[in-house]
Amino acid sequence: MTKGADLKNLTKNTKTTSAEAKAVGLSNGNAKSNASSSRSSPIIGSKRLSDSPVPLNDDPTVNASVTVITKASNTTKSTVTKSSQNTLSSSKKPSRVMSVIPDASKTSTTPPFKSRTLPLPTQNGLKANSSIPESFTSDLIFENKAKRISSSNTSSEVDGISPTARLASADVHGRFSPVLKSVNVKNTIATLEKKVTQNGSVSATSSEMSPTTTNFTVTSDTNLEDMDMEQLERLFLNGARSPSIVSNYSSNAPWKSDIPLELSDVSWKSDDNTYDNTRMTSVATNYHFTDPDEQEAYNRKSLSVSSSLCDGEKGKNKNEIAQLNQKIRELSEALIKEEGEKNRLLIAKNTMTDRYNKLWNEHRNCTNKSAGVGTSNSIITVINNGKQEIQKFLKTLEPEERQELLAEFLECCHPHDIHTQQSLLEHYAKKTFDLVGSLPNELATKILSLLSAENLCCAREVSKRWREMVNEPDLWKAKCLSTTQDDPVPLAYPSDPNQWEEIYRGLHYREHNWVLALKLKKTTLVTGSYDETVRIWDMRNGRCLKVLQGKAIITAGHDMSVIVWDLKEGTKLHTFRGFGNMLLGNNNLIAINSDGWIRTYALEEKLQIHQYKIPDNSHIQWFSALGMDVTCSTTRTIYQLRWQNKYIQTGKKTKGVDEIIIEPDLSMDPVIKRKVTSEAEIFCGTTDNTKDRIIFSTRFNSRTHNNKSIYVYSQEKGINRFGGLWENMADQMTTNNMGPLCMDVDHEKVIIGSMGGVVYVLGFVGDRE
Amino acid sequence: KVKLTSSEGTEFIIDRKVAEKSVLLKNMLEDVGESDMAIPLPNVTGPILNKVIDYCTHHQDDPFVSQEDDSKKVSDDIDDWDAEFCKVDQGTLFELILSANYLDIKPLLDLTCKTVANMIKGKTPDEIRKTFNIINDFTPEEEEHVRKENEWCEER
Repeated sequence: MTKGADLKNLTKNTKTTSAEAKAVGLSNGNAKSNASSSRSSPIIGSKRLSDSPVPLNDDPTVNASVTVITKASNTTKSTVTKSSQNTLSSSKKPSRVMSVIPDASKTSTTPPFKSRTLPLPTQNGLKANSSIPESFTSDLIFENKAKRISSSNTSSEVDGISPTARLASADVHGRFSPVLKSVNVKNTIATLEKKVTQNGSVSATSSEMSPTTTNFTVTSDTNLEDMDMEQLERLFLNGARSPSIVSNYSSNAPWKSDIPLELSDVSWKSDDNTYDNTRMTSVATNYHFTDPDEQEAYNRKSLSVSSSLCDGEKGKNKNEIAQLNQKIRELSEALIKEEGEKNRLLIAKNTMTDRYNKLWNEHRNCTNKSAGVGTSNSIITVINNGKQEIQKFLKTLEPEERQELLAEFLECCHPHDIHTQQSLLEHYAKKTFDLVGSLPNELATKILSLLSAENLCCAREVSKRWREMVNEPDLWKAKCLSTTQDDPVPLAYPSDPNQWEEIYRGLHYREHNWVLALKLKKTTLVTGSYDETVRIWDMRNGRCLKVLQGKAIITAGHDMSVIVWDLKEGTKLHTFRGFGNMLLGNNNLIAINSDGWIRTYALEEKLQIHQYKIPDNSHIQWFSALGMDVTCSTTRTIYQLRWQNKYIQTGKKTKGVDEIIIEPDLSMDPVIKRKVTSEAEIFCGTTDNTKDRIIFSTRFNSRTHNNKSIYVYSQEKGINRFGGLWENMADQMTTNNMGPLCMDVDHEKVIIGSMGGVVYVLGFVGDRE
Repeated sequence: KVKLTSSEGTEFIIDRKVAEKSVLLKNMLEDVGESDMAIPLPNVTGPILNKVIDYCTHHQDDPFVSQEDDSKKVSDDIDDWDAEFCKVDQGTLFELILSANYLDIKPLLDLTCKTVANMIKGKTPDEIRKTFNIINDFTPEEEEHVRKENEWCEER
């Protein structure tokens, strides 16, 4: 048997038995009165039997099939209670000795008994009874975990032994064996069988039975220890008052408790051993009898069973009974003695506790005094005001002050407190806390300055302290300065530092909408950016040739208005409101709104001529126009629209012929010249008019699929993806969230302006277009 | 060799070269010159000083980085050793930041700040609260207000 198994067994035992013990203890009064009333001890014994099974039935290990043998053992058990009380009393003394020492009071509350009485059985039965007190003493006093293990070992022996005996009896009366199993720990059976064989003859084992039962009983009684002191004392008192009864028992049936089999054998064997077990069982479940006669009948039955068990071993057992009775007498005398001892010790304990309390109070007064002298009144009031005040107070302290105060607190600790504090402190050390919020402001700012504006905004929502940290002007100043450090015009410092965030907001928008529009002409690229600059670039070396600020001819503002500028004068000519984007014809303006409406205006008359809605309910992503053609695109479909030409007679005559101007008739709906549908999401695009191609790309950070493809559409080849370098490099060259905003194309290259301000120039190579 | 004493009085003896990673100590040593006297560091506890010395010893041969140079560095360029070095509980990290600041060891301060910044990065307010065990002390109205303030930088 392994130790682990032992332990398990042990715990099982204790569990099962603890309930019993209580019941026994409680029922004891009854039992006693019964005992005194009727001298016919068997009845008393069985009466007590009737009490004891109660808890047993509660025990899960004993299932519904509680059969006679369990009953029998119960009988013995319950009867033994008396005697075991004797033994217990001896065991109790040491425990009380412990409780006398005030400091040990803690240990004594964790019932030192628990591991306990079990060793007794190891002593193997009756002969060992006399030595019980010693074994108890040692066990009880040195109650600790290690000890528990050792005692569990011994208890396992107990298990080993008692089952043996019972198994043996089971061998005699074969049908009891299942019960035995349920009572004993199953995995011990192998050992048990071994022991049985060692024991040799059946009679030998059955003679061993009495000790076993005793053991078992004692084990169960062990659980008396689980009871509180009061109960225990009551038991003691019982024991003290009842020696006579005990001896009564011993004269007839009582000791039968220990050797119930034999006893019953002696007195009742002749009576009713014919009773069958099944009936017994059924009776056994009803333990409370109202009718004394019925009780007696029941008792007899139970006894008869035990008697039947012991057939054939009468003679031997008689001797043993005599021995046992002798033992009982001895034990009861010892009990009385110990009771006296117990009382003495109790008194001693009480005086000790009194003294301890007194000393403790004195000590506390002392420390209070010494602490009270040093600390200021303010702290005391703070403490009186409750936890929150204390926390507030502590938080306002300088680090040194705080540490001093904490040290002061620790100074007042008792050794016991220090251990608690240690584990508490370890807990706090591991605990997460508002790390950033606890730092001095400049360090917190340093950390936060490493974060992007998006992250900062999240951080701002964390708590008041975090909002305060994020609102720190220096933080935004640093951000502004770092974003504008490459600007041609240095940033003007605001008069109020709190405006830095405001400024950054503008910069942020600029940073994310860098190249809004671009126009390619041979080697010159014109870009319009959110910082209200138009830059002219030399494509050959990538240098910025010129920065124009606010001098565009026509600008489309993000306030949905179109402003026509006079290039030479730099004055606003017209402002049209309500546009998303626009392009300029000769004298006409075509404005395309993102909701799909295309409106045409006459520039000179400042009039809206016509409006047309594309046959698609989605937003327009991009558009481009040339001559009569306008191309506009939703996320899936590209429409190429053409306006009908209109001929206008100017009324002038050149060389005698009427002068006619041809221009698109913007007062009519355009015709859909071509409709291209794309599988991929279209975000941005342009048309290549020289080769009749359409170039478009996805939004680079497309949430659905993060592809960064650029597609080319042509009449002959349909939609093709850009291959080559772009296919391989797109991931490294582009940044998520910095998708394309505008494109332009000529016969050999595509220019893409991105939100991040990067302009990509892609050349067409070979035949992949 | 330089002798240092931590706040609780533990003595550490380190190479001057290692000590000079700390601008504070460097200036002190330059002012005082070689001396057997231990330099008391009342703001640094023993375990933390031990960590700091570990860092300085490992980085003793790094070129001195002047201010501002690396202020633009992104916060994910932390090498393996440094990342491992920063795998400590938040209390230790906190103390390391304070000590690095006090001892004026810029690379260590940068490293620890980056580490903390990475703990915040890309997290929702709620996740940040969880990371640092912070209680949301905003009233619902205040929270709404802050959220409004933040609208401008929401992802487009």
